[in-house]
Amino acid sequence: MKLLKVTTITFLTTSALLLMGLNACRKSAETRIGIIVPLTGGSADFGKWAHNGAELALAELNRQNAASGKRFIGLYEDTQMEPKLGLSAFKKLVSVDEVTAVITSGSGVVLAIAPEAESTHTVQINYSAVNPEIRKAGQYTFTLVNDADVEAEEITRFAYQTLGIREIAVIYANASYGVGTRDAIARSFSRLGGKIVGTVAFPEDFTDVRAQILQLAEMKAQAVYMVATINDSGRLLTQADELGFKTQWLSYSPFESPEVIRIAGAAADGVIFTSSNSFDLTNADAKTKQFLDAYVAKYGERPNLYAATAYDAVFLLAHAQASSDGTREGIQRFLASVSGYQGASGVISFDEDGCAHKPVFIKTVRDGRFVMYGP
Amino acid sequence: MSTQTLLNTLIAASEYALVGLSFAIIYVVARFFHFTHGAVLSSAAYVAYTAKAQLRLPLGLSIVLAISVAGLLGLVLELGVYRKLRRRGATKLTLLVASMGLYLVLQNAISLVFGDSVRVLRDLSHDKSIVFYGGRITNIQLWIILTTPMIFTLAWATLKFTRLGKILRAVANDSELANVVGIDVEKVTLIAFGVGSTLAGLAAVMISLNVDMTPTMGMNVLMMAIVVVIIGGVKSLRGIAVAAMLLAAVRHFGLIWIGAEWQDTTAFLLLSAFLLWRPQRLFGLPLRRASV
Amino acid sequence: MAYLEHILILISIYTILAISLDLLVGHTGLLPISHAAFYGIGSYTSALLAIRLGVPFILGLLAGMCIAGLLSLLVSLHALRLREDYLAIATFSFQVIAFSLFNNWTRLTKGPLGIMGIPKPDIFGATINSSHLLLALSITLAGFSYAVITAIASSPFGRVLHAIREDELFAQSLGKNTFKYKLTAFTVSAALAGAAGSLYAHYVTYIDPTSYTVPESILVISMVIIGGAGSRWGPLVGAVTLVSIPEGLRLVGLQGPAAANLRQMIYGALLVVTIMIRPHGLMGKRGFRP
Repeated sequence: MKLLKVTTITFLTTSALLLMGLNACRKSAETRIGIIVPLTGGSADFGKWAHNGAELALAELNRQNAASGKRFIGLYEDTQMEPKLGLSAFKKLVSVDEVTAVITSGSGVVLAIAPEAESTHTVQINYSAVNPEIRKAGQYTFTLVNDADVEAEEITRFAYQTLGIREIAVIYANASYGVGTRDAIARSFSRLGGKIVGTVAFPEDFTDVRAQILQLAEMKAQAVYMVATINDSGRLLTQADELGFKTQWLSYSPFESPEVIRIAGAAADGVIFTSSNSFDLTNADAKTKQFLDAYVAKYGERPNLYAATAYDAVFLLAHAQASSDGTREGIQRFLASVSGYQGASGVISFDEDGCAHKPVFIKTVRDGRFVMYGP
Repeated sequence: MSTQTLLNTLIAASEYALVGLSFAIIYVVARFFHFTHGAVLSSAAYVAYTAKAQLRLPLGLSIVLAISVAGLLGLVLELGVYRKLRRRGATKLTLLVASMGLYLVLQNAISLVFGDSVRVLRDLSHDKSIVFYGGRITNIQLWIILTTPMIFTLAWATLKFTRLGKILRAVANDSELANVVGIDVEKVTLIAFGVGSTLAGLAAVMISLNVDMTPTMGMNVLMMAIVVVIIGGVKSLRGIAVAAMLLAAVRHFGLIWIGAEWQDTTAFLLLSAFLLWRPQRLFGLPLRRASV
Repeated sequence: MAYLEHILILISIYTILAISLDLLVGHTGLLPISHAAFYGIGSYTSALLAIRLGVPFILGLLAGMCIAGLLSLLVSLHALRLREDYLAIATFSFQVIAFSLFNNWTRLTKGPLGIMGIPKPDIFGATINSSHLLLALSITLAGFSYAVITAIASSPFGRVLHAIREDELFAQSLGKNTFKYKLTAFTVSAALAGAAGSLYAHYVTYIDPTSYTVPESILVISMVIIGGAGSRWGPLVGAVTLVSIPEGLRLVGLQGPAAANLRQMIYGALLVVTIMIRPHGLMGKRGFRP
């Protein structure tokens, strides 16, 4: 059956070349933005927000530019949060689809792509990954969220000073974000003089963490910091509630997602977490409100932070392209100088490492709603 | 919190034992590791979810539907795939690989349709915990702990006293001889798939009422169930029950000494140790190759 | 062009994995589910040596192969005594434990954070940076692995392996110490998987445990079976086919939330269809059954 093999290979290669050729012939008035996100797998819910936010941005951009004929297209690639898939996606988007820039997420993915971004001079805007190592990833990597250290400092300071907590335990997912955040919390809290009485790991996408919750109970900490995905947070809180384990739960930005409430219900009440999400501010600025309304109108539910940052990433890239010479290097230079940009996710200014500093709010859950912490 | 740990161990052990039994029923008759069972488990949970959350059927009906679909799925797999393969002389390994392929197809189909987010079957208002000697247990967990011994007793009685049970045992012991004596081995295999898959459906529904569902929940619990079945001995109800308790105990009480991240390792080290040192025969089938 | 080269490099890496696994699956009739573990051992050994001790690529590659081969004894010494499907379970256990070690032995492997900044391969001091040269390197290694396995398969040693595949009892009755043969084959197979791992680590420059999981082992098994276990070109065809599918899906524009699930479904379906309709795979000879 050599014939079969030869035919298959020829067919595949020809189609590949053909499609690559077709792609290259596309109208140059099109700006293509690669969006590399987890669309499936355990972190899929993560990618959905980005997808929605980006789509909203693209639609608006296309409406705004309808007269000039410029079109913006988002090309999605799935990574399942796996670095090697992210790398493949990046290479394909850059060399086959000739995207102008990419939007990425997932610390592992961002780190894997970084050297390639540097060597191909393609900007990647990371809309969600918080690993502090990303600071060193190079000038072509920009981050729109506070890294783990920043959030850790805020929450630990809040816990220490405002809540008077001196001992905390950490429960974290045995994955890169979990380990990274755990370490960040440990560093910040110890610097303040607090004590980490213990840490407990759990596997992502678990079935049952009761054993881990019992371990937490043994530690008798005043508060427990939880690092988990949306899925896992929800179930963790449910199971803790069923076990009658009560504590002051602390967490970080990804927590703020309607899905958590859907899964955990009343068990989510009282969790205190850091957020850069200004959606609930009564004096939220116009841009944020506008985004919020548009999102709810289009999708019928409230967005989370990542929808907003993905949205901002798209707009930033569009601005960068329009305001510079349009080359990849030009886009990088523009972004590096961005300061005081009003985005849906807040005010964006990139520091010398390409990281944005967002204000951090302390929020909590009250009666199934995310609200600012306070009386 | 020792009572709580004990309770947790009992709950986990029941889950492993029930899934293990459902898997063993199929294994002793069909003689290969039918990995697709993981997808059968997940499917049952999602059918219940669809029935209750999308079609708005009452919980009881949803559960019955889920269990039936699971049983049916098992029958379809046997009739549509395995039987055909066996007729063409497929080996155990071939069937194993086929079952892996089928698992991939089914589990991803579930992910495709329902997404990978957690789906909740229980009514959030429902599950209050009952306090029990310093530990807490929810309604569904109590159900799990009570149902499992009942099912095991039922299985034991069926195997020992009914005609079907005797036939099943005959085939499990020696299918060629059973064939010679006039037993329709093919039909028994079909029945085993049906019964095993139905039981899996029940287990899956109970588990998902306890800890909610994701597309991979079936394989997650199946992995532990396989460890239990191998250690306990495929043909021994007692062995499965004991092994389930052992594994659950190691996983829960073991946390005192080892970090939670090593739970899977401990489970599989246990299995490996067992395979290494006691492979000759333990309540069950020979594990070593016959050698000269 | 760069993208095509990237795909070809991946194909080369998977070819090494597939052909080395085929020594066991196709030629000896065993089904180990631990191949990704040795792949990982090779990756981590090579990466850590390069980063911590500045060991050049070639030495790192050899070290990866040796360590993978040595550690394979941990599983083969006891698993090879077991009946075929229990061998599958025993190797599966090893795979899970290996992944757990990659993920949790953070002092050594940095766990889920992964290892970044692995240097690109260097041959006698010259760093190989361009994708053309990297491709050349990968193809060379793949070709080398192919040559090794093909040589083994057609040697007297290989003939004994085939005899074991057909009827181990019979082979033993002829006086062959089948255990020793299986052990040797297993070690060679693991070592080559380690080589693939080393190449991968230095190419992608960032590794983390998620590349070395049970699904990865199953992927390689699928490549072998779909391509045709035991056949001369089967593993290559299998590697080409299965690596091309997700990339093909990308090109056809089938993306969005469904893509990865679809990809897995296609793997699974291909596997089942192959087994049902053409058990000897795309390239296998009729009459041979894995």
